[in-house]
Amino acid sequence: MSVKAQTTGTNRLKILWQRPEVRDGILDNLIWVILAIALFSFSFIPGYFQPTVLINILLHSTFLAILVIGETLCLVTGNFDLSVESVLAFTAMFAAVLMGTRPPTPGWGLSPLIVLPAMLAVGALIGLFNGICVAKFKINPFIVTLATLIVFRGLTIIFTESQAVIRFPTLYKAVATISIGPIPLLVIITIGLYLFFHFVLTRTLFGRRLFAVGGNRDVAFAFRMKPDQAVITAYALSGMLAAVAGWFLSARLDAALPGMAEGMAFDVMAAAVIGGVSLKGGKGSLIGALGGVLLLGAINAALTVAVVSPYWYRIVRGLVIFVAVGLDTIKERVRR
Amino acid sequence: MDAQQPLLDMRGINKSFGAVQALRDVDFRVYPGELVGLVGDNGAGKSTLVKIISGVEHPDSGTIWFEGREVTIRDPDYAKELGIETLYQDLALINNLDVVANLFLGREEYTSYLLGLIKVLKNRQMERDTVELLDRLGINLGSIREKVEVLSGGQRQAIALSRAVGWGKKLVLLDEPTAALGVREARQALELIRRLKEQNVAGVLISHNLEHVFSVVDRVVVLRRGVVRGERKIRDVVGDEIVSMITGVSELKGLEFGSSLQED
Repeated sequence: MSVKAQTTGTNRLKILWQRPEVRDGILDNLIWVILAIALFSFSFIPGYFQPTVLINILLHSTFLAILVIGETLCLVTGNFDLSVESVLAFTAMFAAVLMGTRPPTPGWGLSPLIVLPAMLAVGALIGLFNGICVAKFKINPFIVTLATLIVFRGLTIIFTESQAVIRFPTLYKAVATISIGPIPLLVIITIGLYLFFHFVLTRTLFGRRLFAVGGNRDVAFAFRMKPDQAVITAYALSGMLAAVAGWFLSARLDAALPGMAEGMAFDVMAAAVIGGVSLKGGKGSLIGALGGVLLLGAINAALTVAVVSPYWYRIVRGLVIFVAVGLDTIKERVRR
Repeated sequence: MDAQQPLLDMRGINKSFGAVQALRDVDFRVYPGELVGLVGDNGAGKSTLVKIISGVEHPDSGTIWFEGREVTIRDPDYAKELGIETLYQDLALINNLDVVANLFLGREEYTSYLLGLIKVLKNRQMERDTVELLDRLGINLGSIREKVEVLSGGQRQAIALSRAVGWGKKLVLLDEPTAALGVREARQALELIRRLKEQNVAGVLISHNLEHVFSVVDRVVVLRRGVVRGERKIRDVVGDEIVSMITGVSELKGLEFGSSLQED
């Protein structure tokens, strides 16, 4: 009797597991299980599990998190964007120079109401350029975005002859200073962006096209799914989101620095891959990618709170990527 | 059936590739709801003829009528507009998308918001239509939310076939649809092709496997070296005459010669 009950119980689980939406849902969100395990382990570090630390993890993660959205859009199409960190720095510096008022920093004293749309447009234009080179001229995305990565970092430095620009108008900084209750506005906006782009990826025609291109560009083309247009739009959005991150980070620092966000492209790729976004294209979700961002943030915070030498940070992060890629391989086996 | 107006009527089609004449004065007709087998040896011109119908190649001379109207099938998009669908040998599925997404590839249902800036997919409706279509064709795939990469060759074939016949198409071109399938899966695919007729969709079936062709088509047209050597309604086929037409052996009197030798 009890044996029979048991078998029907496992059968029911099996039937549930056979439903693709259940199985894929679990497999794609394994990162959250890992994040939970990580947070549980870190809770043994004295001083880790405090509201301030947790909110700090979220706050420090916002800039990376926003770059990861754009990166995920590009990765889903089977391409990638290395230039996001330079676009972040360049648009921040561009805005800073347009707004900057006080000596010794240079500036034109323009209103943020003009500057903000302008900086978003500049980010989108850089992305558009990347996208056209990749989709229309069929240049390898690694080469294209490596070139824009280098060029726009150089332009950021030349702009002010390697000087920092500091002190922005209150209106520009407001986004980073306002909190709703204990939660910073930056965190709320970032969550909103994730929800919006998750909807875009999973529920809209554009999202469907991104996955179709990433899966098989030629078939997507044959069925009039406008693959090139989808890729170009993904890059333009990635550039624009990098400008958003540039705004948020410079607002929070109250400064634009020539070297800001340098090396961040690696964290961006790492977070997305840890979150289950495939480098081969056609697979991944923003919810997973967000898990990847938070895992990196949680690990960073743990290392900080435990006062581990910063030199170890990179090694730990590198190992996390190894684990993530191994996990991805296992997942694909389970699926078949 | 002959009294009826043909759905597709091709006359005097010529096509050369350099010095090679792939098609010579070919007449080819398909009637509504009819399944025509196109057979012939390698290089007989079958694929060229099908490519002309699907708009991939253009004839050097000759005329094409579709539904009684003279047409120039300038490209595959125009062929699709006319209601001519090709089932590609590689199936043309996108592996990382699910069954519904593949069936609706390029014809997604959506609602526009913000002046068309955001197009939200009508997933529920597409799922309902998918269930209905698969029911109508008698296909059982398990879950329609399954990504097609995890499905078997036969199931993938079934999806490609239902997509080709499912959405109000008039003529489906099937180029070697059973070539890559195992015995059981090929039988299922043929069963599905047979069901085309119930949907009143016409089809052209190219296959090297005469057994497969004979088991589903109404009429068979034989091409050899770019020329139509003969056609038969399946019920009128006598003995090995189709094989003879394909190989040309009977014309050389080789067959009779060989058998008379044995009798001696």
